[in-house]
Amino acid sequence: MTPFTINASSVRLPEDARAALENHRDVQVVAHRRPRYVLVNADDYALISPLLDRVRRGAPVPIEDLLDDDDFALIAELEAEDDGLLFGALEAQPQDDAGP
Amino acid sequence: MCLALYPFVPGLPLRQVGERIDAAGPVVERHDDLTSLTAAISPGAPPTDLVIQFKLRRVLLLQTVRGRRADVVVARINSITPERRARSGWYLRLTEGRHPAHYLIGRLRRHGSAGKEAFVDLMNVTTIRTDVIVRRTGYLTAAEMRDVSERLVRTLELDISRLVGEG
Repeated sequence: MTPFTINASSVRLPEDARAALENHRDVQVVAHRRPRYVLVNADDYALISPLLDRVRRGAPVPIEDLLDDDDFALIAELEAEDDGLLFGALEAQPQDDAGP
Repeated sequence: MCLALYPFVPGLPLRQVGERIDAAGPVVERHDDLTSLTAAISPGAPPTDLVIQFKLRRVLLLQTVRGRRADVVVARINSITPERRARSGWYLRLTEGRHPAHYLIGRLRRHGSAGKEAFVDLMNVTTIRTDVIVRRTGYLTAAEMRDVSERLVRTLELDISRLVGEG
């Protein structure tokens, strides 16, 4: 999808945000403490726009393409947790169950 | 949300319950590779038993348990420990509702976790028998289940382009 395009003269960006974008760092715009927009360097956008297009079209995307290093570390942690289980062991009181 | 026996997908090494029986009962044979396992199975032999791991844990039912259906698809629920909360990037995406595969629950009483945060892991989805569901622990609203469904579409890598186009 072609991005909606406006002229640079229409945008008032703080100098440090402009510098961040030049240095390939994303700039997040928050409103009422909630992230609303993210500005991305045009070269970086060229890399990720095909992925965005696929997601927006509802086409399948490998889930790994949507995960970051934190996620992969957590997945490894969960797998290690499973490996630590005794074979066929049944927990009398599961850790995860704090239900009524 | 339910408490149920959650099986783990068998992987190597596999433990096969053999036909041989000694004083302690059936002999369990360990197979470190598939060659060893297939060699132990005679062509035309009846299904063989494998030893699988399981855990009693909370799961989210992804389908309605109704009628005579024997199996139901569930997603695993994990607790959020202080260590996991310290993964600030992950935790921020989770609390902002922007994580593509995980969904935050536990802040509401009806989630059945006594106020403790947890997350539905849509990357860990499996089928369980309905008769291994021990009890219900809580529930999600239709709106929350829609959020879960959006993540399920991504983790299962479903092609919904026709549906999106119609919208």
